[in-house]
Amino acid sequence: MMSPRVQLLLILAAGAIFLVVFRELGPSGYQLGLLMRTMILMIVAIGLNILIGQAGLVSLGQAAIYGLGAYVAAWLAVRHNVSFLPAIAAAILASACCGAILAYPTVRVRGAYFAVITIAFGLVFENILIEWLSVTGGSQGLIGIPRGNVFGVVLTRPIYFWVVAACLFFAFVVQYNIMHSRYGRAMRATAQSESAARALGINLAGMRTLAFVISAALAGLAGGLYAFLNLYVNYETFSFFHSVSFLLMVVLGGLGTLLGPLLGASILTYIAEALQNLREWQIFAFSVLLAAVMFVMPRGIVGSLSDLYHHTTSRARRREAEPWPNHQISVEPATLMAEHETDAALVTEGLTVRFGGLTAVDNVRLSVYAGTVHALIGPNGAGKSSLLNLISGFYQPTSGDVLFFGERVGGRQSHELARRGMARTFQNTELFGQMTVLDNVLVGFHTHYASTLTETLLRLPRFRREEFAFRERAQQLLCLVGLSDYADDEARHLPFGHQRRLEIARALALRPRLLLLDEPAAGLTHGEIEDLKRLIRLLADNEVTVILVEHHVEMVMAVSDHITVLDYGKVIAAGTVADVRDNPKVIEAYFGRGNLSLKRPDRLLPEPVEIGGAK
Amino acid sequence: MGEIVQYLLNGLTLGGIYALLALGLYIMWEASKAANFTHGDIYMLGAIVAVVLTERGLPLFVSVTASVAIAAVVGALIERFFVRPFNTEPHSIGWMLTTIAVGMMIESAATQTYGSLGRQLPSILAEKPIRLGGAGVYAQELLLPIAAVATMFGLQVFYRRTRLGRAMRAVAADRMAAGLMGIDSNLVALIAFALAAGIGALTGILIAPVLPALPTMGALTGLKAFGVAIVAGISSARGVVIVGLAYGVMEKFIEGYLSTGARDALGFSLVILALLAFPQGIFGRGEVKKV
Amino acid sequence: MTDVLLKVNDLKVAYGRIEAVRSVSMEVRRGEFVGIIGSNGAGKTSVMRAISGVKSPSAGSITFDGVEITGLPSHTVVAKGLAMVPEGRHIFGDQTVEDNLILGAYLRGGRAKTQLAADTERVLDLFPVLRARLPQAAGSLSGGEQQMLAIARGLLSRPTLLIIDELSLGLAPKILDLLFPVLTELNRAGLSILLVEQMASYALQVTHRTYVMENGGVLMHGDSETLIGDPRILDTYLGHREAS
Repeated sequence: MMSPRVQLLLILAAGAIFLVVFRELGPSGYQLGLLMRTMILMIVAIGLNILIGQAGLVSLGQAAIYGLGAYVAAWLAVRHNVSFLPAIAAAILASACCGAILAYPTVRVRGAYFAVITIAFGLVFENILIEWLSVTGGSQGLIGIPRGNVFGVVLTRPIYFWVVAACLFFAFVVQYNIMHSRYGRAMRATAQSESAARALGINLAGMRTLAFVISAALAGLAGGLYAFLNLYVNYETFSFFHSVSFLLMVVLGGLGTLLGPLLGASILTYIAEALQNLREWQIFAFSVLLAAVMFVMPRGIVGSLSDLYHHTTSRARRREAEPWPNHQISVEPATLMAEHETDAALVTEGLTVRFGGLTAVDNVRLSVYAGTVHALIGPNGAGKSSLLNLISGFYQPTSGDVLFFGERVGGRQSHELARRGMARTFQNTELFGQMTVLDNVLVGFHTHYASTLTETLLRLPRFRREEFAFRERAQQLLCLVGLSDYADDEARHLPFGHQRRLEIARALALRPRLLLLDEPAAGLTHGEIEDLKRLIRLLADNEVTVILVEHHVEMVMAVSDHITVLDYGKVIAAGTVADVRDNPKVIEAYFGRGNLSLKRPDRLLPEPVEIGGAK
Repeated sequence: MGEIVQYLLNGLTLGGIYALLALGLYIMWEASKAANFTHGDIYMLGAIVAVVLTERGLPLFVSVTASVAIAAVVGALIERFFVRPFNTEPHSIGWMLTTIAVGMMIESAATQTYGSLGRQLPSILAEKPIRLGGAGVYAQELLLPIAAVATMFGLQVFYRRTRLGRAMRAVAADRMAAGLMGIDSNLVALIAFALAAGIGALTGILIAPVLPALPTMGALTGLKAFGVAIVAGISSARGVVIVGLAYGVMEKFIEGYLSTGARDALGFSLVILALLAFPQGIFGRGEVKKV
Repeated sequence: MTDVLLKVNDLKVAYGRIEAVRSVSMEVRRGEFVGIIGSNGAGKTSVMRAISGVKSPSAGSITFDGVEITGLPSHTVVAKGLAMVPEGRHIFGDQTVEDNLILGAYLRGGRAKTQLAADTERVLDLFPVLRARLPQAAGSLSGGEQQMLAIARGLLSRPTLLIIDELSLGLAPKILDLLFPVLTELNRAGLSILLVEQMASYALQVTHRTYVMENGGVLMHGDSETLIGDPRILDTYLGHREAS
């Protein structure tokens, strides 16, 4: 398989050749116009592909954002004689702002709720276009847009063709550069597991806003280009139906694929032209097509083809996991920052959380010393996981506070804590299942990148340097946990035990000062648990403080320096392993009374009697 | 004064439509955690099938029954073939696309066969307007809000007192546990979609004597009902009826005191604002996700 | 008495490409009280989900009462007389206790009303605390009461075999001391029970036979009386200490 970079260059080259040949063949004005329109729609589809395919946000109002760009450009050009470049810039800016505003609700709602917001937005926009006569020209629209003029060159259709093509190439490269960068990875991460993304320091709201702004800016650019191509704009091009067709383009082509939006947009535009002959039945045929695509190719053309390709070419190679931890790989020592010099890595003061009437964590005081392994144990439902969620910012405390290396962090969001060096794993492993094993670890480095969005989009030297360095380090971390052989596999295909290892490698990518492990031994074999014990000790030796929530008593006793025992949300015992081990309160809470006042059922069974018995 | 009463009554009629359709969406959502973008078109289908059958000379009662039955079958088919296969994961969006597609198919097929001319259903309740507080209104129009409230109470009894209703609530609350009780949740979802479609068709039939039945009457109304259901917090029957009626009344007042043009722009803006203020809907229950 | 009620043969359960259960064979004889113990993630719950039809197995067979039930959906399996009290209880929290009980008897339809009433009386006699709670929302019950309701609800389908997944989950020892005797009583009355339990000390004391699961397979099985003295069990599940 070619590297993605080579693929990109090949696609760009093929595209350029196609356009040159197309022009040399001397197309009719109609053909030229149709191709230009298709290219513009491709730009919208690319933007939507970033929004849905990367960030997992479904917009049913994209036509309105596209329309906003078109109307802003048209209005400036017609009413204020603004020339081409500033009008396009204003179109992009207006749409991007609108995208940022629309992104706001995604902080709180997703799925059907979000779909309704985007639908409503689209309908409001359409109505404003029709009703606000003085600005939008009402149902007639804005007519008489002058041809664009750049530095004295009039953008006649043959010249404009290349302007549109250049914009499409730009959009395509933006798409590629986003997908293959920390931003794309972070967007995919937020779509696949919000919890894990937050725990790795990703600001969900920020990432979703970014996806929305990029997608809206591209729609705005396309809208502006459309206005100067068509020379009039009218509300009919920006209706709910068009939002649906944009969605269809992206789904038909293949969500999240590089080429999908191009393919989807061209197929739909040309099919729509062909269906013109059907007249009244055009919409019917269109919707039959939509349903058929969903049935036959739910992953779209490119997605389904690449599935097929992988299916037929990749011989099922057995992957071998290496023993772990691999001691040849160094763990970066967690060094204490000077200004927070303290030997208490984490202190909780009277930490309490209530859910409804239930007090899950009740006035818990905990002191965890730097560089130690501190276990939290207790029976099911004792509040261990709730405490862990409070410490890592997933729950907000009802009262009490948390000190992290001396800093008061009670009530802070989980991504803020992650940025301060607190990493965690999850009881039911929260991997980014559809991302590769290597990408999972790379998401862990998200907060350590210094290169900005601009540097990333332009692939400037610092971006390349960082990307290279973090890839190296990610490979090393995979080596540490013995998963190098799996680097390019999707994480969801890993066996359960390996998923746990990957989750730990990903948490280590954050370079944590404090690592919270939530039942890391659950589901592991005895052998794997031995490895895990070694890894935990290795981390502690490198000054990484570890908090361990675990059921596996033997392991807890073996690796911990201190143990806190919880029951009914309260600390019932705390101290060293020896202190806790023989505490009778602990024995009763944790192991049950172990002495039932009842007898084993009689070995000889009586005849079945009524209740629940034989039918 | 007469003006206000007039807007209020007309608004309640319109709101009754939204409330009834939103109740259908609520029924479907409870059973399958998916909604149905064809619902507006089912409402339209109910009206035009009844009109066509009556025009063919069938007695009103027969054409109404047939229309509701046809809609119920269509609803069941939609669940089986366009929702169930595309609603396999919690965040699936496939069903949105497929039901939008089916909705467009129904609408364009109806336009081709029925034509774009609106026709009314005969009704003795829509012959003479009643005078009420200086306003005029057909008895037929008053049927809609009454039907919405009655359906809400009927559903309440159905959900609490009948075996099937209890099964539906069980499926809504916990599919797995429902299965362990011996409840076939796929069948329950199918029945829920049929029931919702039946109510949707009946709504179309109730309004058809006043509002001419048209192939385009469904799409926008369906979207508004969807917005109403979501704003209400789709898991509350009482909520969707209250918000539905309120939305209808609000639309009529906007039409009356501002303009018809401002109606949808303002209405949908309010939908967005309401969702920003109440992300789980006004009457919705928050779903707490455990980490 | 050797009549086999439930037979699981070489069962495999996978989530995606991940195998949670690799190969499990076990059986429950008529009238028997069988336990399954094992640590978190050993695959116990996956086996139960496969048996009760919540999750289809990827391979293997399950026979119940002489009929193959492999891969049947749960509502069909219940109809054959196999009831499951799932892990985490899964009561219908916003419905009343009474409604929960009625749902338990769902498959019996509207028929035999008097018998249903009598059965309801009997389960309420088993768990008298539920009687006073009948009109209350089930979600407002305490954890122990919810578990009782879940068992009572399971009993009302008149099962031949009752599966209980993680009885002790989140319950205080005091409540367990109350619940286990009821199970013993039910078993004495002729009900076959398959109990999945993390608290090995309890399970080993009440059951006839026990399967020990680890890492998706059966590590060992035998008479509970024998296993309770097995050093490996002591070591792993009873935390280095005598169970008595």
